[in-house]
Amino acid sequence: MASNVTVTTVIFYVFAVWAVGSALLCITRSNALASALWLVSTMFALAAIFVILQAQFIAAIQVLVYAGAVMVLFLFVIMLLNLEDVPHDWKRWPAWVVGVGLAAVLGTTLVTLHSYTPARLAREVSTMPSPVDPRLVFPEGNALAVATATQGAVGSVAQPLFQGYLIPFEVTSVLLLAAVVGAVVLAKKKL
Amino acid sequence: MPIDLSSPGGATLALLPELVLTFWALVVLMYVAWHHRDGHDMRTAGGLSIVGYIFAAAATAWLAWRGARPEGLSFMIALDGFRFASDALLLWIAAAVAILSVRWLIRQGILAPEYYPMLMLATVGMMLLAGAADLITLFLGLEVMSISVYVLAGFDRTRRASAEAALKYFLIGAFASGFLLYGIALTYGATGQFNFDLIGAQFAATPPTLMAKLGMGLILVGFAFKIAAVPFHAWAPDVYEGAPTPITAFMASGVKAAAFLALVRVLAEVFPALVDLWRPVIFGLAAITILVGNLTALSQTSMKRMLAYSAIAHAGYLLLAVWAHSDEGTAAVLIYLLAYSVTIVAAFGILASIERAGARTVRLTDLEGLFSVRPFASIGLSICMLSLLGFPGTFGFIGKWYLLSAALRAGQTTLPVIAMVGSAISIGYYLPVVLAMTLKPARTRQAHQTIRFPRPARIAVGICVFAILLLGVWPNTVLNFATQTAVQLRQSELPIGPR
Amino acid sequence: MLLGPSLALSAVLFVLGVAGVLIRRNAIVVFMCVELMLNAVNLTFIALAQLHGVSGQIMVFFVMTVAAAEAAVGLAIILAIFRHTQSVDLTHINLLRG
Repeated sequence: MASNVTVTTVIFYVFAVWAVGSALLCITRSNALASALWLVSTMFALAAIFVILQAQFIAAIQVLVYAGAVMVLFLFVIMLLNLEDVPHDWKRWPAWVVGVGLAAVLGTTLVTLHSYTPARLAREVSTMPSPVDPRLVFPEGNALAVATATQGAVGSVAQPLFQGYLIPFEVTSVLLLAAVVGAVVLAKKKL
Repeated sequence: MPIDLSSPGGATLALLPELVLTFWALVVLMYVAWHHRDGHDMRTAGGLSIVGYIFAAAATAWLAWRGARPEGLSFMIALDGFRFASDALLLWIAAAVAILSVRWLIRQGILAPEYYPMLMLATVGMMLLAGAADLITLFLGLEVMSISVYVLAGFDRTRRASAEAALKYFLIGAFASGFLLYGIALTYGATGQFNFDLIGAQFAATPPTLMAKLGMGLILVGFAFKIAAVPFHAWAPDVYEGAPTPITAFMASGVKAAAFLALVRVLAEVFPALVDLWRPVIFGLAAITILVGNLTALSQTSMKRMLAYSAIAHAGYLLLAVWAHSDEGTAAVLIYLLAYSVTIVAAFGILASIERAGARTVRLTDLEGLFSVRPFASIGLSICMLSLLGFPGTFGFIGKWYLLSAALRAGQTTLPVIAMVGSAISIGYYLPVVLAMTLKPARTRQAHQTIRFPRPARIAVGICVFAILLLGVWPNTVLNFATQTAVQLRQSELPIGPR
Repeated sequence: MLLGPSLALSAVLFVLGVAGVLIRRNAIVVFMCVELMLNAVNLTFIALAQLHGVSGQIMVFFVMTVAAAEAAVGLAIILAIFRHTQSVDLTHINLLRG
């Protein structure tokens, strides 16, 4: 078991470094097409991490919908517009300093979340003073693992999606309707 | 009438106003799919959409009349007086904007009747945002609203300014959604819940944790962008100036109102236990927003830009009532939003009529001598300016009075003083408008000959101006109503223990 | 479980997205950085769903829907502005100045 955990951890960190490296390249490449492809690479790495975090179905959707459909739309528009490679304008360095500075402040604040372990979260959401067993505090998390084993990765997500989360699900239909009508109105040359 | 929100039938009943409006948006969409040629089709689509707002308002009134309340947990969507009042407010704003748009769009040559279904879908999103009882519904409502308003801001496709406004609004809006979503994720992490009441109960039972604090902070940043509070306001002036004028009115009143109503609900139901943490944040935002908004408005020459900065300042005033975190504060938010929306709709309605086809900025100098040519329009605009200023005898004064008294009663004296200083500064940009119209002569003899004030807009603006004056001296009905609904917001707390 | 590392990775990716939005001038790249932020938040949801149950994973579905809808409208807006200016450069549309 111990060696198993280590292997998973190592794989996690490999993909984590991959994701961060791709993201860095995505935000620094001067060519929009290169940025888009590095973003796809980040999304692939994230999909792999989703599998490690027991979200197999989401991982598949991530690759199919996000890295597939949405990013293809981006690439399509970039190629349609035939954008030229605009080199970075280093005269704008004050903006870079401000941007990186703000991001660094935000980052140092948010990275403190690193200190969270299941035990700590369990202690915080329960009112019990002493260290508690995470498995007792998070019955739903265990139920998810059981449901994935019995109903499959799709069933464990689909069941609650179409029962408890029916209202938000229906709202997404309104959202997509608004997006479709809006995209046509804005992009069509002649209405 | 208790409604079980977890059953499909109960959910349908509880969402009746939104469903009616969505259905009617589809009806209008079907109509415009075949009729989108000329002004006649535009007028019909506009008229149809107004019927939809009336139906949705009737559904809201029916729910309120039957005393709909949740049976057990308030699941996904809230059922209380505050939601019904929010819905009524948002529906009236949308209907008024539709009325103002009818002739304006035709005159400006924007012959795309898809405008009206988009406006209806934006309203559905606003209603969901303001009525959400769950972070998922909140987020989706916000996105339905935002996506529709991005499109509406860029609706005037032949103009570059409109497209730039849409792009700027879109990028900043999506950026802000990212922050809000991260906040939602961390709030979910800290409690394991998305439901407002359950999260509130969890926070009440446990001391604030790192994750909860970060989540709340990020949610506040997301909202600060949406309400255009300084220093998250930079998008507002350009977007307000570039968007079609009726849509500017819609953004300044409707979108802002929906975001504020949701903020009030979130702070009252999700984060009441963390009040000592968020109050200083709201304090800082309110103070800097009032001062920066008013001071920057002084140097504007374009009317739309001036009203954009004044809208920022008004968001600062509203934050006073949010700071108060009391029933009086909630009632004050409702009253102020009503007063502000009535005034803004009237002001933009008059400005839209003054705009010439083609050149779509009204400068302060364009208003000179308006009184001698168009006395009623200039009197109406003057009343709007006085109401925005908070002049006694107008509805704006009543709204501001309640904001200040709510903050004072909650034990805050610094912010009311800042708000008074801000109001004093605002004389410096509201009064010149009145003076330019009345005292200065028109620049040329042909000035103001191009003003077209179509009858629907004239009626809508007339009603608004009348309401400003009437409610300014006789506000009791509205006050009582707002106070009653505000109390209901806090009654939805359930005796739910932590794990 | 890997809760802490996942949350930290999510934070790093989110901040990279924020930095990208603040420093880049190409509208499409800025929009891609927003997508990166949304992806980072999805990782937080997934990591927390291990403990809190399936609701976190369901939220990711909705976020993906929203991202797809935003992509459709956002790219349409970018196309519309390209028709006017023949570029997607944000230098003259200063995002951080009023």
